[in-house]
Amino acid sequence: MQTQQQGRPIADLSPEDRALFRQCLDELRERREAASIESVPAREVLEPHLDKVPDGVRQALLHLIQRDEQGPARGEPAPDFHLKRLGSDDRVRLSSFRGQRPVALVFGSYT
Amino acid sequence: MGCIEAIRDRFAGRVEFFVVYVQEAHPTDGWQVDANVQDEVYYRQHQSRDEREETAQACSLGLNITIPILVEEMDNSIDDTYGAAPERVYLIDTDGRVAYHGGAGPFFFNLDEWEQAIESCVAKQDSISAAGQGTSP
Repeated sequence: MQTQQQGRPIADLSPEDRALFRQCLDELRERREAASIESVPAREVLEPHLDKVPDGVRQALLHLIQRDEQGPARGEPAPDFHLKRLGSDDRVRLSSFRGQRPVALVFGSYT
Repeated sequence: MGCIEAIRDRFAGRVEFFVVYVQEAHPTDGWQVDANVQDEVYYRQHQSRDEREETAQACSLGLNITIPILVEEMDNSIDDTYGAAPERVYLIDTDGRVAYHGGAGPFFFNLDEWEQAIESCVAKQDSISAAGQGTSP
């Protein structure tokens, strides 16, 4: 449910506004591709556009900046979790790997 | 998922990989997208823990996922904390800190960046362990 609300500013854009939104995204992508692993923050690239675009595009860009900043940033402690492993009764605690191995996480769903 | 599985294979035994299954990004009762209609992937938002696990299972079979899948609780608290839905990747270093915070999907879901971060993390561990061996008697 939360995702629907989050996605609405982009889903509701008119075709013209969507093209403008895409242009801003392309600029952010180019800047990120030119950088190394250290990602360029969306705010740094998109904020200068906020005053120059129609309101719908501004809302969509603000939404993207907000999304970009969600979650623990590089260098911050990773919030712990203890989740059930699919197909078994076992649970996995993220912090149990501390001092052992790095952990690569992929968050997602089927749809 | 093929790319993700290939990255896991490359670092198997050095890095733990997990898929964290969260709320549906594009359920039939929400923001349905053409790609899912084309692929005939129709699932409503999970109404119960069992339904979430069943959909995760269908996803695992449908996309041939062999990486262990962890299923998010119904309160979506980990999803919220990690700003995860609809999709996002992370790398957590051995000190428990975030080594890579991926861009918000779908626009900035970048597996090349993630793979590079994993590579540097593993290289850093190798150099620490080589330095440790060099100083031992």
